Amino acid sequence: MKFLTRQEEMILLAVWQLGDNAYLVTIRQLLSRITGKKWSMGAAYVPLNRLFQKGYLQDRIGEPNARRGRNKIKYYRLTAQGIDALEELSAMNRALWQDFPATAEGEESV
Amino acid sequence: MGRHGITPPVVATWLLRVILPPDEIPYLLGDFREEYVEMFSRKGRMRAWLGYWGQVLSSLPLFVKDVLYWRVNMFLKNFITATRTALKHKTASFINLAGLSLGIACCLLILVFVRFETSFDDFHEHGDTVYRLTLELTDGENTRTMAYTMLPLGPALARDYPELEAVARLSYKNALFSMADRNFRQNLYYCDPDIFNILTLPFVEGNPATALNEPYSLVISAETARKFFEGSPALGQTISLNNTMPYTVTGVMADVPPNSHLDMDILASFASLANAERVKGEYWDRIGSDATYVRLPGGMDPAVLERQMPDFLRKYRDFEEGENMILHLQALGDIHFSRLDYELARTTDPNLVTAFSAIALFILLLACINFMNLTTACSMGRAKEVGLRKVAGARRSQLMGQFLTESMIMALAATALAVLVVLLALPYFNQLIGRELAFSPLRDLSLTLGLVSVIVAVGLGAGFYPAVILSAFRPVKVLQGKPWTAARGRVFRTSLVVFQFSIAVIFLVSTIVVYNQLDFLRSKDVGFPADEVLVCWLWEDPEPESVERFRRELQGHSAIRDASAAFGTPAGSSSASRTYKPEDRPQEQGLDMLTIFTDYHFLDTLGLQLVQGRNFSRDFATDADKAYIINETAARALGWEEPVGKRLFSDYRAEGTIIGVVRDFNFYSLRVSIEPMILTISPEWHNSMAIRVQPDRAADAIAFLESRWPEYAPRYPLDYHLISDEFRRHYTFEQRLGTFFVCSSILAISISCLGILGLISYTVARRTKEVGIRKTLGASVPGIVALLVRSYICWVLAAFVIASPLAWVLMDGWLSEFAYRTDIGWAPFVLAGATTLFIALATVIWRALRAALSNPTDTLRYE
Repeated sequence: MKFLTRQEEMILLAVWQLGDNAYLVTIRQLLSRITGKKWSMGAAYVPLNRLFQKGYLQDRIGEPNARRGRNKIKYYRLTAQGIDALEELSAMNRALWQDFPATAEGEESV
Repeated sequence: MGRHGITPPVVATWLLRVILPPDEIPYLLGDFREEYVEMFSRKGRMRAWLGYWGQVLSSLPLFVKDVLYWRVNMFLKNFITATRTALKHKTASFINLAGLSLGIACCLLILVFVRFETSFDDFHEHGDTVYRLTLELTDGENTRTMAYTMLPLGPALARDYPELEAVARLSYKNALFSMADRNFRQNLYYCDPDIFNILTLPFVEGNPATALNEPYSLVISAETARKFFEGSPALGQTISLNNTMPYTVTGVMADVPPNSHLDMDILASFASLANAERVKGEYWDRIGSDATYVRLPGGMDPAVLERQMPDFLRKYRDFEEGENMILHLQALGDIHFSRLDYELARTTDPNLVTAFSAIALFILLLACINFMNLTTACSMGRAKEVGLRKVAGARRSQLMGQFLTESMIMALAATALAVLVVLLALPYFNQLIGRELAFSPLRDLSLTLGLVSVIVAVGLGAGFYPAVILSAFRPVKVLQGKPWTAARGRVFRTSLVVFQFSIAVIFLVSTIVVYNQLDFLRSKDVGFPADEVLVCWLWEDPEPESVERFRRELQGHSAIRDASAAFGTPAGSSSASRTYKPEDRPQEQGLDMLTIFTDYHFLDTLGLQLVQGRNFSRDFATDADKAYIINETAARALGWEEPVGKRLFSDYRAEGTIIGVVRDFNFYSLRVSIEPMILTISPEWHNSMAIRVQPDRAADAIAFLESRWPEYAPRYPLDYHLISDEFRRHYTFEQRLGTFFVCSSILAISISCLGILGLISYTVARRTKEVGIRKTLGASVPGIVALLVRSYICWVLAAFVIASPLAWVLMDGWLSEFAYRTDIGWAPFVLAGATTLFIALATVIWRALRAALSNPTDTLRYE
């Protein structure tokens, strides 16, 4: 498996969490909320697009909501390859984090 | 939530539109806008505006980087595909690459040549304000233009127009330079000191301001200094000219670049000529090999000065009826391409440069067309690839990008190869055309830029058509195996093939005609046995008695048939033009005739034939100074049917009688037609000796000449040449260019043959299945071959019909420049047509046979 960057990993997980409602705006907001950092649109878009081009994500064009004017929405969803990648990643992470004393997961991990 | 009136900042949105990846713009703009509206409804207009700008600005660099990343990524992918494709189709790639690089190499070589020819005299600092005065001389109906002007013209101009920055005369001479123990015969220019304010001739030693002020001063080039003094310092040395006056070297200048119209190796001060008769007097009538150069003050219009010249001339010189002189100012940069009747400088026919540029362009075009043809033809094999890519979701722009990348890579590789070829071939090329061209793309910015644009132009030009055609394939059709449903591609390709054949025919015809003409010039009868006549220079100021003694001694040798002393021998550099008035029209403007001052043996020595009258003879006392023999052209020009016995009055001799008419013979070269010519006896003028040798005994004659020479001219080196060699020297440049033309046409022809070969191979390959089916149905091998051959014969015939008239017009135009020309005739056309047909047929039949002989089970198994 090719290694993903940390950002790519986070984006992939965010898409997973958001399910059918994953597109650039929601992904960016989720990541900003969880990491507590400012994510610019570009910072979210670049890894998102790269994952898409590499085949981890597939797209679906949806009708615009009220706030967007006439601009349609490009939703993202994990492909089988994307799910495989996440599974591998989580297995690897579990193995790597195995003996780490802290009980709380996911926080302050950077 | 109100969505009316809530629009994000216009400028920021426009910025986004510019920078975002084009395919994603609608979605991304929507995303940005959504964020803005949300912020607007929660925190108000101001915060939303700021937030939007913040987002845009912080995202921009990331988006730019992303777009670039994908571009590079795409290029690399295309590059890999291109290399793979090229390696997979080795023959096609080789033909493509070879054709392209040969084409580019030839184009580059010609470019280097053209650049050199157009760069003449560009190194002079004040070049754009320097002019040469040229003279247009009208004499009755006769108009001649010349680079020569009257000697008093320069000083008079300087006197009457003090605003001129500088005026200088240049007088061309040939002299013998003697050092302590060595002698060299070299050309030199006598110049006014102002020459250094006109032309840029940097000094290595000495002071240009004073170097040419004193009489008997010399300025020599660094190379000449090395040659004369072999490393010892040249400044202050004395050199004797023509064994008479010692000259002092007062300056050494840097070598004049090869792109100078004057070969300025040695300059002598004009003041040295002060005692010469023609300089002392105000001779406004005499025109020798003297040129006048001026440098105008900045901002002065040369046309204004030119308009004042007629009045200026009239101040100094009276004009006879029907006689006129016009002075023109010729810009320094135009001299190299000027076509005057009498020229002092090395010039090149501008048409020639145009012709070569056209050839270069044509060759490049041919190579590109080849490339297009072959790539489109190969596309058959790649149709499936394209179809699959399309099914897999490749956009048309991506496919086009891929094909353009492929052609760019080919162009790049071909250019690299071409540069290598040019570097290797340049020395031979220089030898061929007798120039010193340099090619160094690394040091020369304009050349490098030219190369890069060649790559881009060839890559885009050659790759564009295949890219468009291939990317337009419809996947469904392609995967069914029929991409070629559209007829337009076929029409286009057919016309390309016809075009290519046409070019081949034009090149073939021109090559044959050029070759014929050059051969004609080489073998043309000049009117006397030029390859049996040696000419040697006599020593300085020869006594007529010793010349005659020398002549008799030569004539007495068994290897020598006859010898004759003269001033003015065919193909030589000295000749005199004198004016003669016929006895019946003495008041008229006289006729200028080329005058040969000779002795009683001239006709026999050169083997000239009399058509009327008699030869000079010692039996007639008047022959010694009152007899003329004229040529047929002169007889016609004088308007006399029976010229023998008629009298002529000349500007140097009161009266003389025509005693004979000699058959016309060529005096200069075959490019110039025969002029009126007159022979007379005048021993005091002789400066050369013509020696007719026995056909097989030239070596004995030369040995004898060399053994006897020191007795007559102990301080003077023997300098002799065969007249036919001199004639040949006149054509050298022409001949070299002719050879070059033949070479490049052969190249053009082989490039088109390569293209034709490649194209035919592929068309035949395309019909493999058809051939297989026909064979299983019982078609015979000759039948199949004939089927494949038929269309090509039509194409060749069409090309022949198109190209022949064009070729005829082109070559007729070229030949009209020569006084003596071959007829074009029909032979070149037949030959060219047959050759093209043969090449086409040979390739088709070879390929068709392979297809026809192949086993149908192999070809049909493809399904």
